[in-house]
Amino acid sequence: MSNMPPPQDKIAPEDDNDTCPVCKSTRYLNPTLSFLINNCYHRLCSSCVSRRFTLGPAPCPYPNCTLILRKNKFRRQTFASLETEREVDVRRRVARVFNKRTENFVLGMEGEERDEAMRRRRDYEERIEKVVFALLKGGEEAQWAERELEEEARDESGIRENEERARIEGAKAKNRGEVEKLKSQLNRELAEAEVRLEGEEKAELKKGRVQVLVGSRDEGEAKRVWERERKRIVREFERKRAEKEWDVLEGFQEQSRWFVVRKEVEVSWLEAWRKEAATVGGGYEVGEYFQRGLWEAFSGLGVCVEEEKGE
Amino acid sequence: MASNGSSRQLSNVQIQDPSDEEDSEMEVTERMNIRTRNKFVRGKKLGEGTYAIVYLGHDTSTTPPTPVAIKKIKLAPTSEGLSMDAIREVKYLRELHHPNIISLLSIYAHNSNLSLVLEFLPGGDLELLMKDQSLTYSTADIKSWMGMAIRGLAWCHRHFVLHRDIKPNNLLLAADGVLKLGDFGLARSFADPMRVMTNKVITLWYRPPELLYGARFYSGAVDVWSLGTVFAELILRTPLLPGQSDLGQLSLIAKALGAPSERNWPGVSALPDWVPPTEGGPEQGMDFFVGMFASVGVEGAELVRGMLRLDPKKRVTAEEALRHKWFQVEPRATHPSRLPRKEGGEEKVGRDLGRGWEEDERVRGVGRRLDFGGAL
Repeated sequence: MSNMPPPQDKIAPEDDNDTCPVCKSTRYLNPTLSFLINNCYHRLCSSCVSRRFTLGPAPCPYPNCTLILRKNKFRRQTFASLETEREVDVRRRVARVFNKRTENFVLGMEGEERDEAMRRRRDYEERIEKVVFALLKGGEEAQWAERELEEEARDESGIRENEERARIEGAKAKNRGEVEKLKSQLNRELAEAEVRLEGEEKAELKKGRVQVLVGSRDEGEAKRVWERERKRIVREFERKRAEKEWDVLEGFQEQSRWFVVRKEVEVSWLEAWRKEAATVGGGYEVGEYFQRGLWEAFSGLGVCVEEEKGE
Repeated sequence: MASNGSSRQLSNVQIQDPSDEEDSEMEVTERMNIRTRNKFVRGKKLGEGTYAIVYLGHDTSTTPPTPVAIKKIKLAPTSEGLSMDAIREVKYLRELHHPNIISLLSIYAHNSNLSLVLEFLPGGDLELLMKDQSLTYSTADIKSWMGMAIRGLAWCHRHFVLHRDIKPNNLLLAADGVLKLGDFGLARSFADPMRVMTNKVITLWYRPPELLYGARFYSGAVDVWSLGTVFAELILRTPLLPGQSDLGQLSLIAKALGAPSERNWPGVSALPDWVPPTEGGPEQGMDFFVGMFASVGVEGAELVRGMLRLDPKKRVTAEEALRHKWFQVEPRATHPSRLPRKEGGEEKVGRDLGRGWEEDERVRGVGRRLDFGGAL
């Protein structure tokens, strides 16, 4: 396994999360600044990564780091502490090989024999810890740990069997989780609907929720009911929302029906002034002056005092 | 003069036939004044500022009486007459009638004091709303507030009035959630060509670069910038450009949005107070705005950018902003009646209308008291 993290005397400083140590760009100027790490756990900002590694493998830019890095191996860090990040990676790797379960030790055993098996199980865990610590420490101890890993990896069929078992269990748990999620999502949206909608509809939705929740013991049924119910609620929401929205342009008419001011109007006595840099830079619009002149000239047209009196 | 009929306390005035205190020899205007004054009952004080005291009042000509805000203008101690702010406010509010602009209901004089009767807006203001950490609001809500603010502003600009003091605490909220532009104390109408205007307007954090560079000929683009910074503040919930001084403000703008130069802003170096920027790169493009204002989507970020262009000629106008496609895409603007609101904005109304602003660090450095040259 070549992607083993190399031992580190020192891991990159963790105090500065806002400045890239390579290009020095800061979060103030670039709010989307994000950091990536590779097998050597040296932090680089994502633009440094694409700049340096897009053309192929290149050495890590940190001084004293001799590792050659590839772009596709860069990833976001999960933990704030790089030490933790590395330890979790090591443990993950070790657990892939050392994946015996309690039943591998104790299956079919009784009495003292079982106690003895449990002791072996605890020794096994002890060994895992030793290997992890040795790998984290590096040097000769890491070499010993690598040998241990190799040795354990010989039992290929046993490992694969346990992997398969874990996969099945994971899928089951995920399925269970999804149904739970579905239910809670339904609950949440309905609760939201209750707050937003009023009166009769509220009561109806409450009833609907009870029905869906009662009927949701069977996963398929829950999904179907949920989908139907969700669509109805969404439709309802949209109708309600349309009533409660407003258009910012409501009642805002186009300029005047009496006149149009052309974009380019030349008035000889103004031309020199309007082209002066100090006028241009301040943003003054001569066109607005023309607009105003016309607007004032035409205002009042179309207003019929007699009609308004009548109202 | 008016002392004939006004010796009694105003708050005791009941609905009554005004004729019994009207002297037939009085001038018509005087009689009208008394009639107007008697229509309103003044209640408790809501707030006090440098140039006005704001009271809660009621219009007794309706049943039930409708609440109003009565703004009693203090006379300047140097007795130069009415302050410029009051004159501007009356002048422009008399003209502008729009659902998104505070309405001036009436004016009357009393003992040589002037009182403005304004619409009562108990919903507080946007500043109050943003500061309240317990309050959350969505993109649809921002769209609604911005839509109303831009509508109000577009109305001002369509009628050739510059507001010149747009900031979150001048965007007031009515009881039904509708946002209204308030405080027209710095407003003026569009200047005629070659007529200088003062550049010492707009609260520093919301002041556009052309005013900081001393431009004396400007347009509605100054208000659009202010509204753009308010927009950004609504999204980020922290002021976008909290500068400490004029130069500090310019350097913040350069650092955050890009350094002004002849290339991105023709004519900028000819402005009176131009100083070449020492910080900042080229003007920020869409990438920056999309990254910074991700929550309002690409269209929203584009509108923020349009409102915060360095060159005022490139900035969108209020009307263009109103027709921007952000207002047409999902999520649609929340109906005002459904907007989140804050309770107990009453006191703040008093402060807003009465300008309790000298205690407010946001407005330190604003020059409304310093320079009225070329104004009005």
